[in-house]
Amino acid sequence: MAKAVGKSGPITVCVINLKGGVGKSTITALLSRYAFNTRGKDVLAIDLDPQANLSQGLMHQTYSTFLSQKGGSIVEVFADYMPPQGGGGPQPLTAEAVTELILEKDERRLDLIPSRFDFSDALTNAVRPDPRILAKFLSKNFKSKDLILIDCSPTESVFTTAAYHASDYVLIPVKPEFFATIGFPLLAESLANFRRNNKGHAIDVAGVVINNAFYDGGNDGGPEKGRAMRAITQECANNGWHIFSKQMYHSRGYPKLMRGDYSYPGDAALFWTFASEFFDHLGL
Amino acid sequence: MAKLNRDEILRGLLQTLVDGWGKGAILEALEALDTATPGDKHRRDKHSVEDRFRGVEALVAEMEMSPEHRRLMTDLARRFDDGRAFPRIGDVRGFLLSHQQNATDLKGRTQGFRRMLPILTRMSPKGLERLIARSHHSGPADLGEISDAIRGAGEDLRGKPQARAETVEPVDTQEVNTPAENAEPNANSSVAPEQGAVPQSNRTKRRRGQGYDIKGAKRS
Repeated sequence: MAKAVGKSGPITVCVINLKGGVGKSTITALLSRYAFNTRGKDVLAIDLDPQANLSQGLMHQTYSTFLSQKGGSIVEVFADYMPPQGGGGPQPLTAEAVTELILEKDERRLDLIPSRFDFSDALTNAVRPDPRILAKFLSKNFKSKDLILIDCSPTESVFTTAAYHASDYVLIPVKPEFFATIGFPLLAESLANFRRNNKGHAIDVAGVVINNAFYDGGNDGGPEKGRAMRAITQECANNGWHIFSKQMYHSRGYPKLMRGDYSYPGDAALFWTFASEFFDHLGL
Repeated sequence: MAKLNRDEILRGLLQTLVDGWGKGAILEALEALDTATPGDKHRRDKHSVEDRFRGVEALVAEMEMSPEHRRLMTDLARRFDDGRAFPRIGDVRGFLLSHQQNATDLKGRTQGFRRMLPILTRMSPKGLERLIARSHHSGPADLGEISDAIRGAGEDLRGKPQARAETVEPVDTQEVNTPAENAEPNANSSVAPEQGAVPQSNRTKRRRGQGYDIKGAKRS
């Protein structure tokens, strides 16, 4: 799977599962920080979910300021222009106008293209946005980045297609519980449809990460988890998807980290074990 | 073995402290210790940081950097000293931990600023400007404030709920669909615009456990 980095631009990974609550935003936020801090990479994170949990997780309280100051966001990327701001009329879309600086060290940055709740309006408008617009924007403006991570919304829409168009790889988080594999057939079908319609685009599933987002009862989830893991393993084998050996342990530290409370990360501090395996797998 | 006199013992102890914490930190601690009598503790706590320490602006003044960096760093340091930037130790801790720096043993904001300096000096002027503009926030993200900001932005974009209601023909509420419901199948419907119309009073009640009585619900 290892890919040579820097030859033709960043590795782009979309984090997706067509089932909600599996940890997509948390994983995207923590992988972004890990890639920047530990792997020393120049990173762009993109929030493609109108719920904007990734934006809130990376910006914390400054997300309120971003909203009140009407900062640029993924909404403007899909609109393909910056709306008038009291004079001068519409402005051309620039990378600077729609990115928020999260972390910076020397020449490297962790940037974010944040989302807003009104992003969902794009789905209800009569004219649907061009699903290739994100890929075009990234190819024009972010070729110097090492890594781009896209946090997708949990339901299939034009945004999902836009994420596929922009991505080299797909990362699938899953919770080992009864409903775990519900999103798998949908996702497999969604990817197959995309491949059929875009034969020149090579998009691979980087792998599936097990997110133990529930208390394991002291016996590693017991028979319920065992049953779910058998189903997950079977589905992954059917689709030829890799399962990462390092799992995310259950920890109340994850929601704390996401809201900027660093008082006690608990087992969330062990996220790096998966992050390390993931980036090694990608050759990053 | 030659017996050490008091001065030599003191010098030895101080050297150990300086080796461990650095001269600056020891001087600051000694200054603080100088005023630490039990009687005036309450009064001393009210004094500004400058009364006890030189302030982080003085730290920045001693450093070598480009004129533009100096201007921005001095601005940030001034704001830090008077509590407008990184007002709580938790804010400093959050900044350090988000940059994967150790912050578990942090005892004060000034000590934290010293650890922030290597990160700050490696930031670009633009990055520092952004940090200054947004460093007045305190603590982790608060759902109430974010909800209020979403509501405010929603009213800007879509008009106030009342204004919207006035423009809509009165119909049976059972038949009113949200825009998200009107979307085609599989469209993202995770955030309905109506979320922005939650009354202020309801939202503010949710803060700090004043809202949903989870324990009560479990008991019943």
